[in-house]
Amino acid sequence: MPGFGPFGTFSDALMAACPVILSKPHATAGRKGAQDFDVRWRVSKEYCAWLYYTPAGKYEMSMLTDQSALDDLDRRKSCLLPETVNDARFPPGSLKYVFALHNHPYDGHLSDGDLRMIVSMGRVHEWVTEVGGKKVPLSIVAFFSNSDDLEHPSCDGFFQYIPVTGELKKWTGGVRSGWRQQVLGTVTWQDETHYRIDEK
Amino acid sequence: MKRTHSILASALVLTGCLRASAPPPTKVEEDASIAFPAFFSQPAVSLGTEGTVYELDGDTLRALTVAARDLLPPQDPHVSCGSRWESQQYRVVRQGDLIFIRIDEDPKACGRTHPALDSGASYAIHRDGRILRRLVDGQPDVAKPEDAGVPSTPGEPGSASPDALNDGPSPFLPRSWQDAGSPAPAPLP
Repeated sequence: MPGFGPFGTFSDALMAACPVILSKPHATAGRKGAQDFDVRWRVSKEYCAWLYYTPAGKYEMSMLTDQSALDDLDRRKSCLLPETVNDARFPPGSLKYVFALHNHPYDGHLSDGDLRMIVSMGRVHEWVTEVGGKKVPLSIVAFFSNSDDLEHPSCDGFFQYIPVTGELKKWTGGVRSGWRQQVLGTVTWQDETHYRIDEK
Repeated sequence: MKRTHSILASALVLTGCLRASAPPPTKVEEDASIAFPAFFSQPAVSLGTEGTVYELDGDTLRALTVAARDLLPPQDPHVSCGSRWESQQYRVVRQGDLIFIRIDEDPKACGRTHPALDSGASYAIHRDGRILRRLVDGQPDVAKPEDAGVPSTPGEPGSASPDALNDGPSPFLPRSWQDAGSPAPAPLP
């Protein structure tokens, strides 16, 4: 994505991606108790993108999309993430896919649809990418904001699911206070449509 | 004849206006004490087996219809592929007078391989047809406890827990997804 990065670490790239995604139009519905929350929720949108590792040794973000295969009158807020990124600077097949990024208009956990999507992607991409001797697992991330400032919402955290470790996590905090993680549970898959969530 | 055309044109315009507006909010009693079951924790019995006779009771059929009508737009010829009734997978769990329904977009129905993010919704419907709870993917689940009680630890944002990323196949994914070997049974909770 022009003007984004590149970044030397995935955590720097993630922290830079969060405000970019949340500041898109209708990306957050604000606090649930706030006035007009229901209207905000109804008009809210989801955006998604890949965070990928390039042969140049950097993390980049693909162009954001708000495309979905659903009708405008469908109640679901969905986003259709392409399987691959076309980055003309690098040969096809040379990119490593590490984070499927999107926003949740509210501080909502990752959905069954999110879990199904990332394991479906994992079966065509690598579950774990080797980056400079370090292992980076494929995962899905949903950023959220608790702010009622819809034009400049704060990045208050994100939910993450890492299929290869089974971990369902919630990250909160910030640069000043430091980031903290909660492991909310684990997901164990038996087959494509059959899995168990063990909550902590 | 002219009048008929005029009425038809008005009806079409009105239909167009209706499609352009937001879906009418269906009254949902939102009983937060109702917790959704784990729809995917066990294999579902599929109605797709050829030569087998299935029976569907009227309450379940009505509940499916109520949920589909609430979630999906009017089924006219212009509706997007992913929002058609026939482009969804439906799961049903009965618990007493409650009929739990999970609706997920089926990517194969629209010629895709991967599901979209947040492309499902769960419903709790009374056998009399009332929607008691609706939870669209991405919405907060008010019936679930807050995460505040779960201990937190500092870490590099986005990283796996240090002791969770091991060498060898993951016990959380079928072996057949990770290599050409035979699937390994998942660990018990």
